[in-house]
Amino acid sequence: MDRNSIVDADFTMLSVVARGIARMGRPALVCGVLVFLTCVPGFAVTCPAGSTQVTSTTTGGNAGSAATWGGTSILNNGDGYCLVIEGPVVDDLSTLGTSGGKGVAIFVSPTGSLSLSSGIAHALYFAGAGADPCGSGGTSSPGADATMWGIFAQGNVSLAGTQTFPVTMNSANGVTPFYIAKTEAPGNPSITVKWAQLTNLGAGAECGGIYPEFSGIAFYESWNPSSATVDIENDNFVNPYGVFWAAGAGSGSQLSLIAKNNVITGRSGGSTVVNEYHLYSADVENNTESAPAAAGYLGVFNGIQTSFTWTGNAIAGTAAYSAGGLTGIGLPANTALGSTLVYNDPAMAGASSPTSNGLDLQQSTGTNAAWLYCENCNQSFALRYLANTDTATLTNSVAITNHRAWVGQGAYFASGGLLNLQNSICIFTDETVTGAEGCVFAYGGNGPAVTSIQAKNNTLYRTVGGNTESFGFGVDESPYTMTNNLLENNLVGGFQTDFGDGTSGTDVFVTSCGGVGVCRNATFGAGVSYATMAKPANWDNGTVQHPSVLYGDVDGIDPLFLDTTRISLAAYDVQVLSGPGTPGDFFAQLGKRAGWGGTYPLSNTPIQDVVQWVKYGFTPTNALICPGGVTIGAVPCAGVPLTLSPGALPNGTSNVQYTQTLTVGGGVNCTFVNAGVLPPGLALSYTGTSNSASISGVPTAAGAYNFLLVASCANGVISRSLGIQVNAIPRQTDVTSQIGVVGSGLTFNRTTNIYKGAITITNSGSTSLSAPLQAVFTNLTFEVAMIGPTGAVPVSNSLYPGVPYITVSSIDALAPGASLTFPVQFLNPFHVAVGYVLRVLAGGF
Amino acid sequence: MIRGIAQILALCLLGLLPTGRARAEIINWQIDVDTAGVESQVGYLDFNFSAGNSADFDPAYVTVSNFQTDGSVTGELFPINDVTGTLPGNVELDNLAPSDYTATFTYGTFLDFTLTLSVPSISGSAQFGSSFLLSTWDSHFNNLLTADGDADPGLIGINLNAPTDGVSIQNYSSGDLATVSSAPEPASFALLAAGLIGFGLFGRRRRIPGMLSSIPSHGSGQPDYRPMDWRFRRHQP
Repeated sequence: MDRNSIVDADFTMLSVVARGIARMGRPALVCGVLVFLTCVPGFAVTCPAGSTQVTSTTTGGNAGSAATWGGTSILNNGDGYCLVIEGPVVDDLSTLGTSGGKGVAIFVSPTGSLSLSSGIAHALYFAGAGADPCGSGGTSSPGADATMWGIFAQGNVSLAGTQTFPVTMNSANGVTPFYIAKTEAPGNPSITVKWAQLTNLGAGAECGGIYPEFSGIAFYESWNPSSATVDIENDNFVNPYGVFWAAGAGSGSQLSLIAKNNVITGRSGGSTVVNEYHLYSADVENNTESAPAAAGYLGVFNGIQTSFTWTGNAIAGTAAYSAGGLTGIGLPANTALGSTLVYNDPAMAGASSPTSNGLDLQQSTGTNAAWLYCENCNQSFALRYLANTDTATLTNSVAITNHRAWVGQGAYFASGGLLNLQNSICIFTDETVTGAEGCVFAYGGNGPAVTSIQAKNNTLYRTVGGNTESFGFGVDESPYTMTNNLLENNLVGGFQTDFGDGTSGTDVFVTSCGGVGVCRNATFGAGVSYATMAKPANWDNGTVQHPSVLYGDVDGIDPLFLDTTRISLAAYDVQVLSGPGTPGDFFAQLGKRAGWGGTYPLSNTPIQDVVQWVKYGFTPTNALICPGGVTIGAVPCAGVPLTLSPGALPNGTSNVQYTQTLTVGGGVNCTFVNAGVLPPGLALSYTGTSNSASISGVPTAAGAYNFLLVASCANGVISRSLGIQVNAIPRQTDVTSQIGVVGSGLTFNRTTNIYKGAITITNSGSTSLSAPLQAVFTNLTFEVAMIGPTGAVPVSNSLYPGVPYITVSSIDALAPGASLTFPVQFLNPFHVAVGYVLRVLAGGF
Repeated sequence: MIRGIAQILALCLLGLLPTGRARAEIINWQIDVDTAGVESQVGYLDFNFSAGNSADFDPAYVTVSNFQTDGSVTGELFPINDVTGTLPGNVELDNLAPSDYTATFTYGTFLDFTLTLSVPSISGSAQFGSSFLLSTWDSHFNNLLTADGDADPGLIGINLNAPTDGVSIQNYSSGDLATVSSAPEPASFALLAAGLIGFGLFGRRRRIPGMLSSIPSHGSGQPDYRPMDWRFRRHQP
């Protein structure tokens, strides 16, 4: 096996980090290169060659106002201008810069700010047509004569569009970048870019951005803001070199990153989101990257001081250009990475030498990863570079992997550390390639052999293959000796299990499970074997006195091996072991094996089933942590009691629509029956595939009605005595004095003589007006007839007998201050002025 | 007479006052319609203007002026209620009763006009506003140029929501074939000048009491300050 090949892919990232460190050591060069920014505290501006500099007043103003720029008009959109902002400036123009022109260069001082006026779409151009943004610096960094157009921010910049009014940022010549930059000068700019599309930002250009390798949003090194936030949300980055690079966030910086719901396509270099040094916090959620054009990770985080949220992010790579999903180096201990990292490199399916990793955690201790999905990866999850006393834990994860190890390298270069793997599933789909490894590959470092693995309750399965070098567990292989290992209660299907090669190592397992370090494991599947290499020294097949059980073939198992007096096999193990031994049976137990509650239906493609469970079942909203495991979707936690809500039903009113939903908390696929009498006119309805029912209808008779509602769900039954009080409809009350009435004019069609308009009533009082609400049209002009009224007031009504009315609201009360608008139509054949006196009644007739 | 002069002077001065709830509102819109898609079709142009509830409304009127087209107006249907003028000249409608002017029309490639609204105040206390509606009909009174082709609601609607100080414009045209844009309000001096002219005309035409023609005619886009009693004249049959 080629151990080194496992980590080759990671040197790309390491080199990036190394380059960043190197840059930290050459500030003089940086200052010389970036002449347009000062290297001492203060705010200095060197506008691009060919631009016209204007400076805002200290009080700022609208970008479109000449007064803002000392009386200089920026000619509508400031094309070719270098805007130096000393105070708050609002861009009230729809464009800044002209596509095909020079665009604009904007310097925002620490006392200045730039924001966008609301309610219009904005387009910003940073072009500098004809100029070389790299100047004499060549292609790797800006030269002293660089002509850079874009935004340099030391004060706040808020380029916040909306879905309706987005922001477009473009670079007309495809070379000059858009960038937001910060140098050593003071200032704590908060940068917001929302609902923006950023295109032509220097893809592939080495000097794209003030940080020469990023053309998205970059911060230069040696920056230690005391309070600053970068908020990037709902943006669309098209062909950027990278999206965010916090190269300059020093170890004491208080720079926080929020990156949510962004879509990145065609990244041409680097990685997408990178912080080299110590963000204060990072919240990275639901970002999607596709079709990267260069190797790189979706995220590379090196040290985060306080909190790190990573969830719902996905990357779809290609064979040539994808390094992986997330590399986290020195994350805060016990960082909960949320529910999902989806990483799929479909081009790696069947590839002989996959190079991409899904998750690579280094020097990150505690329970850092949970519920991760990785398909077609090299290393789905790598937990490594642990220090002697550190532990990295992976729980409740799922890996669909092709080659190499699933979890491994617990301490490859470091001298020690413990890999703690629990309640996880590995499906190894292809072992036809020589050198393929297996699910769990743990081996010791080159230093003292103190690296350990402790694995409990995991399920490992191989679908195809038979390569003799592949395994379920690969532990303690020479020369990478390990100690204090524990494998307990794992189910291994289709694999051999490798415990060292017998050539060296102490093969010491802990003695916590009945005196040996391998216990209560079971293998499953025809023809599998175990320990083709050396067995642990204290290994026993369990036939006599040890509770370690490795079954080579379930179908041929000798029941005597099941020493139930000493082996606490869970019920599901018994089920598997006593079943026909098909993969379907195996997968049917996967969820339980991983500590998940519920059951999981299987088709004849069980792997795809599991993929679906994981890819679409695990979301932050439906994955519940239950006692003893995780449940997916609507499947309840085992043993969780059902609840029925609401506890009591509201009163109804006769002849008024009544709707009430009943919900069984924790219930699955519930049916409902009522024993007793529902109010006449009401009915109970449900689908049987959800946990809710509805009682609805129009009650026809006043009275008190009591009944027993019984909900029978797939996972339990709950019942409750309920009652509905149906009140007689209240006598109508004239509430006109509490109503404000306004109306539109009437448009009309001379060919139909129909007049149309609208009336709005507003509750101008301080009390709610109960439904039904009726608009009564009294004193209607004689020649005019109302079209489509709800009806005529009954002649028995003492107030307005026979007057047409419209029911404005039959169910909902009108709260104080609330309004309702309804259409009116009149037939007016004589084209007379339409007049009426509107009265509003609360209550029925 | 003295009272009338005072009223005219007061109206003249209104043009110099800052905008406020007390002054009359003069609003101009430029309405442009691309009729190339129905060029040569014969149909109707219909304008109507009406209050919402005669029991509670602000009197107002609208004027169609600057009517331009490469089509042709070939006649008109009988006007409904208070309508003066004919296309292609200026046409005026008030909302004392529902007013409608319909011209028979052969469509060209465009038609444009200025619509001037004069109302004491769109922010007044009247609870029911007024609505103007332009319809472009074919020879069977079906809407042309609209998205759905229904007979209703027309092509362009302008609704005065008096109590909310608002004017809402409904553009039912298909693919923005019709556009409505705000036309600049006359400058204050123009208002004053117009008022003074009106004063002169008033002095001359008051000698023919009771006739509609006693109302000062107003040029394109110019304000029209009438004697205060214009709103009380009788409806035409």
